[in-house]
Amino acid sequence: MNKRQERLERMNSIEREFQAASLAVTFLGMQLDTDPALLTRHKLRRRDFVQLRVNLSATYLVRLFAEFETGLREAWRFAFRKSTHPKTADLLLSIGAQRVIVQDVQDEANRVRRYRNALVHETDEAAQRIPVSVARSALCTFFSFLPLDW
Amino acid sequence: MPSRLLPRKSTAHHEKERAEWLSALEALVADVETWSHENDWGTRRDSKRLKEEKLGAYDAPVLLIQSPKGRWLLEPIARYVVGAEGRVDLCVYPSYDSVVIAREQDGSWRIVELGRKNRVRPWNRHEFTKIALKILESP
Repeated sequence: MNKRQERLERMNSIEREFQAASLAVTFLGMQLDTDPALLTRHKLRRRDFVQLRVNLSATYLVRLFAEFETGLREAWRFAFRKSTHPKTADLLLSIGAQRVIVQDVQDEANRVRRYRNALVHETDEAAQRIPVSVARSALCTFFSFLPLDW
Repeated sequence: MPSRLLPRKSTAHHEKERAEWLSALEALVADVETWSHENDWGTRRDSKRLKEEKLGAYDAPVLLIQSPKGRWLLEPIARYVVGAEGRVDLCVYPSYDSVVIAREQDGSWRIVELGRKNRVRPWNRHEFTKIALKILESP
């Protein structure tokens, strides 16, 4: 398997893992409705479950973006033979120009980047919430413009 | 006359951009048709629907080129791309090994072989023929 495909499959696999985790959270919620003491037995509180449900999507989005960024930096170093370490925004722009990427695709990847930054840095930036599936699609579409292998 | 849907924010500027882009595409496709016929290659026109945030949906010309050695597809990708004023791909059919044809700010086209360092060639019959045969032979 070539490097590009490998990285695309890893991003797809993160989305599937998120879907499995979402299902698990749903079932745990149903379980807690019938057995409210379930968490207490494991030294956890209902509040922990609520936080899990609230933060699940953000947790996986950050992980998805980490996978995407690692792939980009790997391509930057090995496909384009660059030894620099630019900011992610600049990396997206440089690779975008190098590969003549469609502007809408670039813009969508940047939208995910800004949302991820808002999550990680807890900024007040009014970044629009992006579902994991939409983020995966945007990042994979950008990544598909990279060389096949490196 | 290409059919089109209005973009979400339709402006006179976007209408003008779309018309200008379609005119540039028509000229490019006409170049490739002429050069292909001069090479004794067959051509067939088709169209594809493109959608861009700034231009909305529109139909753009696509060209299928047939030679005894193989087939290519000349396929518009987008008007708005990073680092150029439009992108069209020349792909081997069906492997999709391809080369980019990018439009410059002055409206001229250039052939861009994407790679570690992109290799740029001028847009003319000789370079078109050379690159078409080269990508056909790519492993």
